[in-house]
Amino acid sequence: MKLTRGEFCQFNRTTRLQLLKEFGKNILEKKIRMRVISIYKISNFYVEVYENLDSHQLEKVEPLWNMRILDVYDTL
Amino acid sequence: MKSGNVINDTIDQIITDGVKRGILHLYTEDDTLYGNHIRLKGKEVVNFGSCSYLGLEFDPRLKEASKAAIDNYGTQFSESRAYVSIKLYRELEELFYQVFDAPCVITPTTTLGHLSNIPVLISSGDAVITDQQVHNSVNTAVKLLTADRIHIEVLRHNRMDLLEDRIKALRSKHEKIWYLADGIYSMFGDTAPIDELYELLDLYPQLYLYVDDAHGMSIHGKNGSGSVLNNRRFHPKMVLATSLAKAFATGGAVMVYPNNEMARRVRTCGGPLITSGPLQPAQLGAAVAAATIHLSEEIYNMQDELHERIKFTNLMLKKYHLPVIAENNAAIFFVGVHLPKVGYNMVRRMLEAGYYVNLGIFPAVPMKNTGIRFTITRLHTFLQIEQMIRTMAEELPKALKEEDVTYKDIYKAFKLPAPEEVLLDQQVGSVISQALTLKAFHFKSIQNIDKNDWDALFKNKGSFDWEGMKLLENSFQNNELPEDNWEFDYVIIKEIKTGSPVVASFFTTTLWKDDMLSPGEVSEAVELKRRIDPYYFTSKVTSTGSLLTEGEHLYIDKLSPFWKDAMHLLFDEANKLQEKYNTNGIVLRDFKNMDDEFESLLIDNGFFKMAMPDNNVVSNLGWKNAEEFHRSLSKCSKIHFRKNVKRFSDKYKIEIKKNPTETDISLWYSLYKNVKNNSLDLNTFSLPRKLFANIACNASWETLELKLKPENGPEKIVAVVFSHSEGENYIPMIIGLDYTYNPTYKVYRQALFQVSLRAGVLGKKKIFLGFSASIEKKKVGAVASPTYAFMQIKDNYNAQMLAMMTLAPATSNK
Repeated sequence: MKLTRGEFCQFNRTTRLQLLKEFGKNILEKKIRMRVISIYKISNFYVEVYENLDSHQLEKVEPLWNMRILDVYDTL
Repeated sequence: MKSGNVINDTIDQIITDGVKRGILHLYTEDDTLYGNHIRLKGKEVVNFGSCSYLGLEFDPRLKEASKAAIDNYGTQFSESRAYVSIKLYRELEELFYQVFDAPCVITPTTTLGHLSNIPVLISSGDAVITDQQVHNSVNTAVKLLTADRIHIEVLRHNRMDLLEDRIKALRSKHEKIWYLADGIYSMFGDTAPIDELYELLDLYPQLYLYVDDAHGMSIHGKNGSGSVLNNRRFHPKMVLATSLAKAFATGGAVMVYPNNEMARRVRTCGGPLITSGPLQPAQLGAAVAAATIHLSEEIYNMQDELHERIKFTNLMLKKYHLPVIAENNAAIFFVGVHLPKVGYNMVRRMLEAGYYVNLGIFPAVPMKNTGIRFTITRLHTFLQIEQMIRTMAEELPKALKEEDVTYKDIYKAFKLPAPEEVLLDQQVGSVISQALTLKAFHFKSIQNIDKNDWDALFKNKGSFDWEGMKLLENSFQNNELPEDNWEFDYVIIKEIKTGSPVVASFFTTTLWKDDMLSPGEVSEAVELKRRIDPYYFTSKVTSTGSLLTEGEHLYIDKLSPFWKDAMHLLFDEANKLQEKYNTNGIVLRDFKNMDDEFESLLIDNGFFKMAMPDNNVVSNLGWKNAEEFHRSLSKCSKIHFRKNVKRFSDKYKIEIKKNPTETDISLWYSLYKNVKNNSLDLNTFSLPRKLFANIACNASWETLELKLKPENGPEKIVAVVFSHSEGENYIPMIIGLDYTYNPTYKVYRQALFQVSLRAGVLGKKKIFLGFSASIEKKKVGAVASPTYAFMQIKDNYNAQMLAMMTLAPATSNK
């Protein structure tokens, strides 16, 4: 399934995460303090996900516009 | 046969066909159900047909409450609600009062709710306007109003401009004008324009709204109160009927009123609330649990989850370029496939691929608007939705190819703009089709067809041999009135190799009165309107045969292995004519004794069957004089003949009139007009005078004059019959009568006798006595045969309006 970034952004956070789990591929997952940060690849773009382990809330599910962040995560 | 029976026959045939193909009347084979998988015909499939949009049927709270209610109250409480209801009813009604912030009455089903509401709320001084696509259960209740002769009319779907016009026209005569609509329409999933309706409710004191929001309940609005109340107040002139058997997931229905008095009156007087059984404890228990969820914040999470899936579905349908009929925010989707045969094919393909989808077919939608209807629930994963839509997009081109239908046909049938790539595909398709075994030949005049070729197909089938067609062309062209100008189109489908015709017919395209086959009293009411607007309720129709001819208008060589393919080419040609002349309908007519295979072919291709008046034919003519004719009659007819015909025979002088003068023709025409104006059972436009002049000088026809010889005074022409006399059969086509003498001298019966006698004298094989007056025609030995036509219509609004008028003829055309 091909989805553009714009189309992906039409959905709420819960749905975005669901779409990532059903159609995407998890390429990175790191626990940083009280957060789990994950990167997914879906269609031809990457998405950054923040889940707060304290509150069990999804804090961020946003496409990556600057790919250099991947290098940063690699170094952490 | 009554038209209702014929419609039921068509429905029966369509559904039975679906059952035979293993796509309708299915049973699940699972021992337990959970989630959205079901087992059908030994295969596990994802269910895309459920209306339980929130998936609450598996919620443990509802299940536990249901079990507890059975433990506490038993499996049923069998007393009419007029006497006693169990405690859970009161609890549930109080919860619903909170959900809707308005008084409610609970009914066992939405249909029973309508049957309780509509006859109680709508009074004899009121008028009713129903939306063209309002749910059948609403119309079922509206039919009850016809007993009280309440004014009922049908409005084109969602046309608020027309509604306003009708309100203005009706408001001085009616205390209340009720507009009946659906919140979300159950087939295409589109919605009623509620904001505009609220504006009209505020503007016109006489307007009241009755709305069925079955598919909107739970999935929209505060407390899941539905699509109508989504961000809106409860309008004081609105009654809301909604279902608990869809997203609410418990069964039952709830009727909501703007005031206590209205609720009380329905609760007290609504027929099913007095005499029908109540909702049973298991359902009530579950409903209390569901209502409690609706009154919590949780309902909004559930709504959000569903709406995200709806949004995703709309996106996927666009991505895969499927011909979706309406993008909407309901959980119902409809992908057009055009004809029933493609619908059957697609549902089968989807089942094989692991997806159960619904077939949207007649009578829920018009024949040519068949489609795949599917629903989305909160239980569907995004992956399931995407895979199902992708499968549909992959399978549809295959089904279309197999059934010889194109994307362009779909877009045209649903009046949707075709995407560019579809138009390109169509061009490629036409090139390919030229290489097939058959070829369609189209002619604009009989003069372009070889006389022997045409007569080899149609001689002795009716009055439309080569000469007959020439006469029709000469008579129905270059006239002043639009109804007197017919387009003629001849289609012959031939096998390319042998050149032999496989299917042939001629089409005429002209204006028809939409009430042509309606009961006389309906036509009487419509004719009153036509005094002001002569073209009121008329439509351009492309039909095999013509309004003047009868008989076997369609030649089919059923020995040819290609006859069905040839019929498809004929349908294509008919569709081209429909497009060219912009006609509302295609009619294939005059069918008797059809086999199932032929009938299925027509229905699969989007035609519905309708009854024509019985056709009367006299066969085995063995008489040469009146005595021999008398001997040929049955015992009863002999008595009738002696009493009503023979007794007056010597009062008449019979003449086969040759070389008439203009005065003769004018007199004949006035006699014809007497008959035309006297009979509305087969309501057509009057024939032009020119036709009579043409018949008079045509060798294939003869004119029989009946002159009365009174005791004193000159002879008087009291009847004239124009008959096609060429060939084996005798076909009296037009009759003219002077009704002044009919009661005393039984002029019509005498004319029938003289025609029969004449046919016998000429040694004809059969007399085609045409439609209507079957009882009189039986008395001269005619046998009435049920005759059918098959019709495709683009817009069935007029037909629906006439159907409503047929139910209440005296009131619905004020």
